[in-house]
Amino acid sequence: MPMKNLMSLIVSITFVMLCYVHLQTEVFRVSYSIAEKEKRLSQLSDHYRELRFEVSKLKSLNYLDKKRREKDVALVAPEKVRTIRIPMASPRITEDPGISSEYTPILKKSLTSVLGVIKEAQAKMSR
Amino acid sequence: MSIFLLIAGQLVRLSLIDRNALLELVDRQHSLVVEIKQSRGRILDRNMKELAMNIKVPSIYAVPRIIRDKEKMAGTLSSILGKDKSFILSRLERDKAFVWLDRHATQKQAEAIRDLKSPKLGIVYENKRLYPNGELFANIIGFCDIDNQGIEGIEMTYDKFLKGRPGYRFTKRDALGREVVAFEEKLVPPVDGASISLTIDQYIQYLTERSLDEAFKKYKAKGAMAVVMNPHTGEILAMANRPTFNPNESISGDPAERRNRTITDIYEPGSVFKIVTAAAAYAEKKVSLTDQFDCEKGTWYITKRRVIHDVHPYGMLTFPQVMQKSSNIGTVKIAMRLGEKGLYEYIRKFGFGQPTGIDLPGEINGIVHPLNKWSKISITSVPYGHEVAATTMQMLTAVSVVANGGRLVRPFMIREIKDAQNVVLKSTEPMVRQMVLEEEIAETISDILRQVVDEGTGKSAQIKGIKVAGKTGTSQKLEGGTYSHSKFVGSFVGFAPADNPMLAMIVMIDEPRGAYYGGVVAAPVFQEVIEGSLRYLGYFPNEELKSGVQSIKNDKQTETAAKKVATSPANPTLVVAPAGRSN
Repeated sequence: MPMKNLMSLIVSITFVMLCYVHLQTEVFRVSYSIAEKEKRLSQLSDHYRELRFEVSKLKSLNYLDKKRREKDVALVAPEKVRTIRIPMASPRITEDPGISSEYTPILKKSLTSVLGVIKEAQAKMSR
Repeated sequence: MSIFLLIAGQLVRLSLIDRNALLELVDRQHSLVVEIKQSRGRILDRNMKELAMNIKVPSIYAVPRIIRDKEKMAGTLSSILGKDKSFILSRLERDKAFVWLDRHATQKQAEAIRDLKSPKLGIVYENKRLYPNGELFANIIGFCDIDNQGIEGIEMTYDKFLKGRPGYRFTKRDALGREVVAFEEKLVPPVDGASISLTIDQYIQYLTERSLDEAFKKYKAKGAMAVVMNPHTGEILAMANRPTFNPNESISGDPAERRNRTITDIYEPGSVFKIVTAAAAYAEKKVSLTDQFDCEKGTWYITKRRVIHDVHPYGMLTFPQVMQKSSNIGTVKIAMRLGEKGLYEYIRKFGFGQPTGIDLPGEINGIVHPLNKWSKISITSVPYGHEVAATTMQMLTAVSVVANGGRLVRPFMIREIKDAQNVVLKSTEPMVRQMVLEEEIAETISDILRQVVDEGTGKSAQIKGIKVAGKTGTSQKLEGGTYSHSKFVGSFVGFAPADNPMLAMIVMIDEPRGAYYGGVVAAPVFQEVIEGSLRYLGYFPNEELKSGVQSIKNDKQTETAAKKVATSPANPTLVVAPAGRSN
């Protein structure tokens, strides 16, 4: 009996240790994967920054002016300028009574009606 | 038994006797401190457009100690990096474990180095400061050195805000030196540099630089400067210098090209200074608008040895006509009524001989001799801008006194400094240094300056449909203690619209060739920039208003546009007090 217990103990310890080893290797594997992805992310952000710089350079006024001169585009400021002021008040929005502004997916509607468990949050006026 | 004892002894040695040394070795082999580079702060214009950015660029290094065939390696590297073979060889022959071969190389060069797959060479990515607008803003923003430290302009002055602080990651590495992220022990995050928003408007700056550059090239001038300012608040909207430089290219050549000469260099302002004399005499009620002055037909012998000349011979001129025709003789006679003391006091009140207080590096005081140092003939020189020296910024601030109803404002360019979390570290509010003139006096002088543009020497500054006020200036440069007859400074200072000024501007052309009068070389630059800028700001000339769809009154429109100049998304509460005058 003690032999059987000892064997069980050894098996358990071996199992635990194998788990530990596995976990450790996984930790390393995930770490390398994270490091790899971080490196990729860093490369992509650097590339993004480079592209943003290129865009800014291409949009810079002196560059555009240089291109305008090179292409010989005879752009000049207009002699007559017409300014139309757009009223700042927000336009009144009228709703078509035929179309509901609320949209609930059909599946969600049926689930709601059948189960009666899905509730939607409603904003309440503060008093 | 003996083997067992040997093993036991070894175990005791390793775990007890050499424990500390071995632990230290383990720590050294596995501990890793990774520096996390911070990002240098951004520099933005008033509309949040980026003027300075950071990108990562490769820098190439070598490990000379492990290179055997240095001659061959130098040859290979020379062809890739485009550098002299002897230069590379001298680097490789150093007895060092690390030498830079090329800082801030190109991606293509880095790829070529990577393709060599040599453990003796390496690539490190470093931050590099780049300026998408190239030469535009160069003298204001300045630039950074190879280690990203600001060494000119705003980059230098505000380096402590912009540079930020690097972070650190204390972690472990494996046998191959790879970082094991999961064993990270401590993280000190980097602090990115703060962002600086300027009062400069990219479009107005572009207009200014373009026009100034054209004049600079056309007249083959030695130098040129221009500043555009909101006269009510002191916000600088544009500041340009010629010659200039491209901060993205390797910086070499004359350091004078890199200076912001609008605040670091002085010149005798010449006739533009007559504004101060006229305003002072009128404010002190020493002259009235109908007073007449005998301009001596262009030549006035004050003493046997002291003669003053006018460009054209004039007889009797009224006080406004003296300004309109820019008569030196008339101006001296006006100043004589005021007296030395009165003139000196107003020169100081207008801010000459002291810094304007602009938040940029290197501003100088200019030269105004104290009254006890004035000679007997100083009163015949100072009134038309001789024997005094001022920066273009001082002159513009002085003319803004007339434009804004008598207030001497402090010019500024740094609107706001915000850290990476958008916390405002510093913000600048408009500041009035002192009241110099009463509003009515300023209004009258403004009317006189309008006549200078309408009928006098500043006709080239006229803008169709917009009232412009200004003054031309042409001064001889001092050469070996005497005034040169071949080297001049042509300038124009003014503001528009004259009845409710939105923009004040000064243009200065140093040693122009072919023509030198301020009205010829500088006034057209003013006209072009101010017309374009007012259109951009939503102000349109009267004639066009009448023919257009718009029916809003001019004053109302000016006010709206003036608010547009003075406010910004970052500082919406800043509202300009309009001068409230109309003609």
